[in-house]
Amino acid sequence: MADPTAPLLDVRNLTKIYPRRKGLFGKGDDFVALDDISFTVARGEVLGIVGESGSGKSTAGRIAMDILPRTSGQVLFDGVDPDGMDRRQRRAFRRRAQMIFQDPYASLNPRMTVEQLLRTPLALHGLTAGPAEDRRKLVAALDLVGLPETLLNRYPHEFSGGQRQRINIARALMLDPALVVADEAVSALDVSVQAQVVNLFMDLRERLGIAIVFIAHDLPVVGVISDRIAVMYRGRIVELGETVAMFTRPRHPYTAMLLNAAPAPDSAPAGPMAARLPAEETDGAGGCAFRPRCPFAIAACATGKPPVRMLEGGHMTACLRDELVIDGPLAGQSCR
Amino acid sequence: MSRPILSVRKLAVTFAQGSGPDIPAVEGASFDVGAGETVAIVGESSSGKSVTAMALLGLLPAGAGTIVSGQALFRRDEAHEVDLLALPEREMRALRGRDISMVFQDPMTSLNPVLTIGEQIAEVLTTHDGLTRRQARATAVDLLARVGLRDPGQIVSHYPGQLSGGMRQRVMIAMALACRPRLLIADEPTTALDVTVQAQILALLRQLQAEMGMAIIFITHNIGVVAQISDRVVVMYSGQVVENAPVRDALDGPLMPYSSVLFRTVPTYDAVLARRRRLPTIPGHVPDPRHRPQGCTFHPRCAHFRPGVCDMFRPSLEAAREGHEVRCVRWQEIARG
Amino acid sequence: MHTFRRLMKIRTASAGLVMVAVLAVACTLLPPLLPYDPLEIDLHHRFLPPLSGGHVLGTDEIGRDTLVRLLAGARTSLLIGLSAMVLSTVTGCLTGGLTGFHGGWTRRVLMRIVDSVLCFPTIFLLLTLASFGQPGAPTIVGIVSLVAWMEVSRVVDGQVRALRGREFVIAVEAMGASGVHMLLRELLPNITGAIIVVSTLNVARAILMEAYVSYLGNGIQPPQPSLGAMLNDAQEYLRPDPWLAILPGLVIAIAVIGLNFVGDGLRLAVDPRQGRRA
Ligand SMILES: Nc1ncnc2c1ncn2[C@@H]1O[C@H](COP(=O)(O)OP(=O)(O)OP(=O)(O)O)[C@@H](O)[C@H]1O
Ligand SMILES: Nc1ncnc2c1ncn2[C@@H]1O[C@H](COP(=O)(O)OP(=O)(O)O)[C@@H](O)[C@H]1O
Ligand code: SF4
Ligand code: SF4
Ligand SMILES: [Mg+2]
Ligand SMILES: [Mg+2]
Repeated sequence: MADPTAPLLDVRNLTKIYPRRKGLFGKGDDFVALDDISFTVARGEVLGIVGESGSGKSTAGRIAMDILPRTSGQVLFDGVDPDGMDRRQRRAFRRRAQMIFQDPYASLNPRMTVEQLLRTPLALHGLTAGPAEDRRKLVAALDLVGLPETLLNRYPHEFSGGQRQRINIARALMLDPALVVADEAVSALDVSVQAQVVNLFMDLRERLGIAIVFIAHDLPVVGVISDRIAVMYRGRIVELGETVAMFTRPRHPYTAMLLNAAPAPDSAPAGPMAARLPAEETDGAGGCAFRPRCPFAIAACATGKPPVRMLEGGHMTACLRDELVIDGPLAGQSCR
Repeated sequence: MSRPILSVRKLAVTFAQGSGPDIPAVEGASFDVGAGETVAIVGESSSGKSVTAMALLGLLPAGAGTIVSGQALFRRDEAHEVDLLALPEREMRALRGRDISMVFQDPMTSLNPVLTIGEQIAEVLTTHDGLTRRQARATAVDLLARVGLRDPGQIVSHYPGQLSGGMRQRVMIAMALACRPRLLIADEPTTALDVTVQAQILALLRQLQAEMGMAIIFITHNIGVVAQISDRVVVMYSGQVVENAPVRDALDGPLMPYSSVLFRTVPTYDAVLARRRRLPTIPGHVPDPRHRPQGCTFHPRCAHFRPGVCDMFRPSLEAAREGHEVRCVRWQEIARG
Repeated sequence: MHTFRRLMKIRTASAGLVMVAVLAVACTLLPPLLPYDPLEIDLHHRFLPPLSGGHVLGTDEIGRDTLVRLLAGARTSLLIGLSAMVLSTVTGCLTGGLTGFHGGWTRRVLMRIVDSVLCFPTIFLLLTLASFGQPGAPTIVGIVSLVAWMEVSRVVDGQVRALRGREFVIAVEAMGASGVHMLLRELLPNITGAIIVVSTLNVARAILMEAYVSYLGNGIQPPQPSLGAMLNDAQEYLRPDPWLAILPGLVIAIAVIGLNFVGDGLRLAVDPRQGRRA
């Protein structure tokens, strides 16, 4: 249908403005949750999106899935914007693009058993194939996410957070999607399951060629699974590039701060790039939004939004200071 | 170690099931928390960490969760010791929030959306410390400043929905610390936050702990966080404590096979370089609590499993050395290599 | 079943349930066992006081057995209450579900109507409507439902709107679920509790309204027994024979209070916050 070399998902100049009523934060300004962001996801590629809470990661993911209206910009899935899809295309889109949500407590209908929950996607797309065959599929999906089939008749409230999120993932896999937007899908999972699920995502990508938008804030995890990473800050993508390049030499000071704030089992808390208090109210009005927290800020940073600069290897950054050399946690190392 | 501030012995909790047998969520958990000490409880999902915490605070869902047995001696002050598990509801309510407080994983569900932040903190202060409303409000502003929130005078009149996740979690911590508790139980307080905010919250907890000398039980999945914040690690597996050791001993030389594989599953930046290599995992899954394996409950997943030994005897928690306990029949052989 | 167990722990609710159950069982099983017919006139035994002449609760001004008439009247009341409840619940769920789900101008128009109607004293509305229709049970069911569905509609609308943005609903939407699926399979099952509560209270209201309307002569027509009409008839003989008024009043009270107890108890028992936390 579409050009196989074209990206599976192509997001262009997306902007999202939430209207905010007067008095919510004293001011009555509209809130810009996404400010002109663009990214692509190739077939079978894993794009990681990281950033602090409130930076717009979920908003971007939900607009890409067309479950949230956008203010402006384009979303192309297989070259077609969901906005202009006909009935049949839309149906296919809903099957081929799946989303896994952040909150394992809220994303399962509390009145349905696991079995009913997993049958729902099959029923919605008319893919039922008789009780025995369906049940085999359910059990296979549960097995993929590491849950025993004895749980089929239990209700969501009987599970711990980790178990619920596995049910969510199993449900998304029922439809053999081409794209999965995983919004903090592993953030609530414990380490062992997190490792299993990350491996599972890698398997799915290799075996089935599923492309994944992997939204998370645990940098080592995002690094392990992603081919490229987009770093968001206050509604903008401030850096986007190949994973290893970003971990060896981050180009944006915010990326460096994120990389250094992640606690590791063997390291002491980080030194020079230690996390600074986020400025909740001041947002460096007019200039670079990161300015109030940036150890490298110069006068020029206050005079206008830093433009997005393209560097070698498709790397891009939105920091004015291109002469900066900041070591990432993998500085001096290369792929084994 | 000096006399512990909290001493949990053989805590067992079951959940009633509409149909079928009860679910034994926690089966005989024992551990101590020293004064001013931070104890991390780690373990896979459904191992019983949250249930343990809720049992200690008398917050098990009424009608569903039952404390079957056990004792949890809490030193209220130098002279008084109470058993948290046997405390009448009224006394427990007086204790909660004053001597022991709790921070939950999801700050949104534990804050009341229709009361302002100031009203909620004041509520705690007026019930426990008997402050007047005006004093309470002033103290609330103070507390919010202490947890590093800018413009606390403004924030007291905000509603929880108007704050970001990180701010809400700070508010929860401020509320928990309002009455200077001797023990803080934090159930995954940073799991929902991003790393920069997490780093700040951890630093904040360490600093407040140094100032106030409280003990902390810190429940988490994140081994990196464990390394940063805790003095001691309690590893739980399917309702039992399987290892209990000082943090460096536990992370550098775990004796129980489960702890070693658990710690190995944590991705590090080095793993990022090994492109597309799978992360180490623990085979199989946590057993359904109603059908736990015979003998050592970990045996179906254990690389050191020895038939006839591990599946016959349920190992007890034994002291490998001073302050390091392990539940494994073969730990000596395994340690020898 | 959990809800039921919790309900039985609430003392007023279990008392209410017993009251309603006893009444319902009595008026279905008892009448055939009694040797009288509710319409059977016996002019030789008028105004018999309770426990005399073989009539447990006595007889009325034309010698009809009071117990049999009470039971028959109560049965009519309960049936009217139940039918009005079914009708209003179905209509209310449909309208409230649609407006809550779609929002927009349909919702604004409908809720505006509902609000303005509901702020009228319903009894006037009822009497006005009753004076237009053919007196009788179907008319009463119709007009009671005409008012009662709005209450249901408002509750369903509010609940659906609250749940509409929750992740579990968005999750199936992202999977391609239709509006009908989301409404019927995801949303309504989560608000059955609230629906049961208003419906229960609506039965009580319907019974009360039937009594009003029949009392004022626009409802069930004589000689058919009705609690309201019996009250009206008893008025003339209030002095000499007060039991003729007290007894139907008591039955109405039992039904209405019982149902209100159950409804209020349900409100507590279905509280979703009883679930586990984390
Ligand atoms: N209300 C409940 N009803 C039934 N079972 C429950 C209930 N609460 C907890 N359980 C069971 O008790 C066990 C322990 O649960 P708990 O919440 O303590 O796990 P956890 O270690 O905190 O897991 P997580 O890391 O996912 O939060 C699990 O098997 C869980 O299914
Ligand atoms: N429905 C909404 N109304 C108003 N503001 C919103 C709404 N949803 C999200 N926002 C705001 O948009 C910003 C981005 O949110 P989100 O995409 O959820 O962030 P993330 O997923 O990165 O944590 C946040 O500041 C949030 O407060
Ligand atoms: S543009 Fe200036 S303030 Fe912004 S990140 Fe770069 S150096 Fe820092
Ligand atoms: S007792 Fe046996 S099965 Fe259990 S942890 Fe030790 S070696 Fe493994
Ligand atoms: Mg988000
Ligand atoms: Mg938990």
